[in-house]
Amino acid sequence: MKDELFARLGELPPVPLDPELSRRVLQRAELELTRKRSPACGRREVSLLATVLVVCVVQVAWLVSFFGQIHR
Amino acid sequence: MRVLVHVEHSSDDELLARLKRGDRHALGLIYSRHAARVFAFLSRLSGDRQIAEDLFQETWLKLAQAASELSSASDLRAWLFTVGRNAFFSQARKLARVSALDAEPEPPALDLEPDAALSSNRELVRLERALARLSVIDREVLLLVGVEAMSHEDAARVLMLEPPAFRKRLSRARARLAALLAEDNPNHAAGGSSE
Repeated sequence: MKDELFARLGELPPVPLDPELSRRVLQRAELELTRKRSPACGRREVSLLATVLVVCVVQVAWLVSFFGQIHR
Repeated sequence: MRVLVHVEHSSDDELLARLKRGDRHALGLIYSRHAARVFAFLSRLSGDRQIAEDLFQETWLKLAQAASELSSASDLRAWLFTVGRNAFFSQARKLARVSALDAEPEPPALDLEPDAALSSNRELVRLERALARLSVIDREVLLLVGVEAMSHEDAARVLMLEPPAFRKRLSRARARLAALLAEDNPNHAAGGSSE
């Protein structure tokens, strides 16, 4: 009885999917896929570059100040 | 036409790898492979075509958004069903449509377009009706295992259940569906065999 029940569940027909809905959903998903990629990739690199730049500026400022004091 | 041929040969893993690189064609192929089943699951789970359409759209948008972060070991089919299911429960809570899931509310009647084969087969119509009368909790497990033929491991993962809890839920849902079918069987009271 139980196996028969599951076999019958497997026979239920697919629910019709409206082609217009399908086209719309796929189009939005494709847009999202391409939209997400370009900025997301660059953002991490920009953040890393900004950190490196800040570290460099601090280092240079410290060196200038250090040698300035020695010179005096 | 070339796309259709490719559907036959690319595994989900290959398509997932391409999707992670932002390949739109891979998305299309994944869509053509899984969209109908995901939509059927969401339609039967929600019992409302409009809600199912919203959840369906949300599911595919989430795939596009999460594509680059998906693990290569992800089971794409299970992932899609999990996202769709979670979106359903999230929306149900928002709309307060689910009034205490554990109390097994009467689910809304399915608003499915009658298929020619379906209408000609009273057994399947009765089954569809009984399935719609189950609680969401019982219905989802039967939809995954019975209708979608998902393995117990994958279905347990979608439902986020440990194997013993999953087996218990499946067994209980199966018993409840059988009871509903017996109630709905016109020959049952007379003790005759069905059709």
